[in-house]
Amino acid sequence: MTPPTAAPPRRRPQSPPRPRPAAPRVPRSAAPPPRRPRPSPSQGSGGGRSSTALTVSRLRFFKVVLLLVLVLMVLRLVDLQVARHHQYQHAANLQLRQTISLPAVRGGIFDRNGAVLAMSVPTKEVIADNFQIAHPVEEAAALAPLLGVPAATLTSELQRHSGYVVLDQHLSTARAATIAKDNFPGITMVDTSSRTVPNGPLAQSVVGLTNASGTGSAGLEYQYQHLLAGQSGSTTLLETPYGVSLPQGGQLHSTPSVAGTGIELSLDQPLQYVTEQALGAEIASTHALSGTAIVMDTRTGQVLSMANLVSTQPQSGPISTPLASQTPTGIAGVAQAQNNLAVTQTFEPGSVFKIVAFSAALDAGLINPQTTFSVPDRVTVDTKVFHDAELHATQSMTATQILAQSSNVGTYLIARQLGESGLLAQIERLGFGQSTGLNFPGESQGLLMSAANWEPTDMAAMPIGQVDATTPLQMLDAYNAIANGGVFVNPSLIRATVGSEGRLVPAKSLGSRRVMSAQTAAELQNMLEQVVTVGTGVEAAIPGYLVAGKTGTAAIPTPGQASYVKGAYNATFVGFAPANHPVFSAIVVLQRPVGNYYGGSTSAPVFAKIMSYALHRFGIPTSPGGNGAQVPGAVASLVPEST
Amino acid sequence: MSVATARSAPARRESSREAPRRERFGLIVRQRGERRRRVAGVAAIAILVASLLAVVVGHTLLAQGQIRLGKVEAALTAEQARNSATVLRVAALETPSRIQSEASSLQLVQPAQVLQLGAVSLDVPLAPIKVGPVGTGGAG
Repeated sequence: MTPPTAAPPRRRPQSPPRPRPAAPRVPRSAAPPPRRPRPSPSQGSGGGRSSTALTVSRLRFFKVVLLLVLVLMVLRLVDLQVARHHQYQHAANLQLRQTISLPAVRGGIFDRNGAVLAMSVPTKEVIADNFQIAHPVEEAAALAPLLGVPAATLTSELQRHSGYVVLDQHLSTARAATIAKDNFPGITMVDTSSRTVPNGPLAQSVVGLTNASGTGSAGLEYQYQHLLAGQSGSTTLLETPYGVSLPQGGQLHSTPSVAGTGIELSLDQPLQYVTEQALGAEIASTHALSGTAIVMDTRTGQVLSMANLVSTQPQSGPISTPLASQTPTGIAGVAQAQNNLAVTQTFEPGSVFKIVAFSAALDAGLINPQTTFSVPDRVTVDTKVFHDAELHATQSMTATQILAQSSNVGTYLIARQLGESGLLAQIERLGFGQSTGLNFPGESQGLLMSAANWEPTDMAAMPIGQVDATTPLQMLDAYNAIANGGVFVNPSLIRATVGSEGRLVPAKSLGSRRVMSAQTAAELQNMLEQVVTVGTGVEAAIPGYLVAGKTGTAAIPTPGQASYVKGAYNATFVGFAPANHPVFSAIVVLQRPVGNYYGGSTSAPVFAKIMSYALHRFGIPTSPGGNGAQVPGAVASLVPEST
Repeated sequence: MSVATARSAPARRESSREAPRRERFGLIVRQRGERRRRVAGVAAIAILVASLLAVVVGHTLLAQGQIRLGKVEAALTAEQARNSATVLRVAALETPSRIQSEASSLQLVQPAQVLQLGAVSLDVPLAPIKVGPVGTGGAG
């Protein structure tokens, strides 16, 4: 900065020399001269000099005043900009800052091959602030084709003068981009996402549902909410009260949302479809109240399909139909169950429960498959009569025959050797009355008879499956242990979690335990194979494969009473294949089929259809000498007749 | 008094003679100092202006970068949404129910029974094909 006294030297010579007043020199040390009196108007040239001095002094005074004002202003500025900067900044931000929530995209649910079972797609919610819309009719006409809403409806919406009208909750991002490009006044769009199930109701009772706010409300969607939901983010912007972004403000603070983790199920989509179709067709034809079918990988315990269907036809009687979903299945009169009946609904299993007594007796060495018993068609235990399904004379039957023909009396004779404690111990060993480890929402552990409440008749009723109540999955677990060489494997529905980048993290194995010896399991496999070959389960046979399993036809208790509903049965078939080298185990339960109610004639054919498809789909080799003595015929049928 | 007067008179005359010269030298010295200060001042102002300009340019570039970043983010979001929509469309196309209905429209039916060929043990070698003498083979 140039000092104020340094005038340009060139100008000085050009300026005319000013006459300096010849004032007498006064020594510096001298006292200042007395102030001159104010000149009166009558004074001549001497008065002009004093007025100049007065002006100078006034100017000095104003200078000082101005300086003081400036200093005050500077002080105020320092106060505003430095001392209380944050306070005012905060107040200003409160007026202009808008924090917008950034919803996280919910993780998807996939089958074991990556096929989508449920998935969230980013969408936009279109909101109108109709106070800002000056021409609602014109704007409605322009928006109507983009929103897919009639212009008249949209006009009335825009004329409501409520300030907040949701025009579309889930508009596709492509259409939203068009709306954003046209910059409609008073229209804002907020990020949302919509949950979509491309397969419709397939496996709905397992996969579950989300509610309107996108939170899991049932099934796996509910159970794995913490994984699937992800974490919402937020962004803070400076906006005018009218919602116009301030360009100088920009994005102040942003926390990105974290997408939810997907889950890969053990379900196989095509097998699930076939399971549901086969089960649904049987429910429709037998007029059953409901049906459940599960297919499991024998070695790993992974559930490959899990179907839960209910009849939508009105049924009379004391047994209520499980709640049905509103989504149609494509099968007339059949709908998806709201609940996963395979793990939430208990039933008295009937004859399929007989493996408890047989496995315990074999393991204890009390019997072997060839042990013979003299079996009448009925037996009285503590004044109650227990009988076989069909009347017959007292006959000699091996243990294998007792199981194959599903003799109730024969089973009682075997169980009697075990005693109460032996039976109860084996029930616990096979996993009944305990959680399966799935921890599915609403999962039941079953209802077991305890030793404290034991009654003499239980010795006959329990081994034939008319005392304890189990879930279909618990029953399948027990048979799976036999198929797996005596090793009980906890079932699982989750194979892996899928990160947002698509990285798979395998789920932890749920563990296994030996529940019977390998020899017992092998003997039971052979005995159960006889059930399908010559026993009550011949309709479960699959050409080319050895199939093992057990039928069950159990009376249904009257709700709230100590009696059974007349003519009402649960029909069950549970087994595994190929019996010589088990790969899959499966169970089919039909609740109260009408007319033909035997497990061997209703559930067994469904089992055969489902298992046959599973074996073919996964390329399982046929069994040497499998239940298809039909095999040569099959080969012949594949050879062209002309040759 | 007189001696002092006599001595001081020529000195005054001498000083009055040298005064303009000294003023001239003083002016030159002052001019040089002033020029140096002015140059320094101009340079300081120039540096200040340049710095401010640089700050403004920097802010502008930053703002432009933010805008570009915002556009890239928006494009990324749009592409992700498009990808999701495509995945969903593919998923809808490969649903078993759609495949079955498509197959039905093509007059395809499910087989009444699927027969699996029997397993053949590979441990036992197949019998060698018997080949007759040359020229003895029959037609077809």
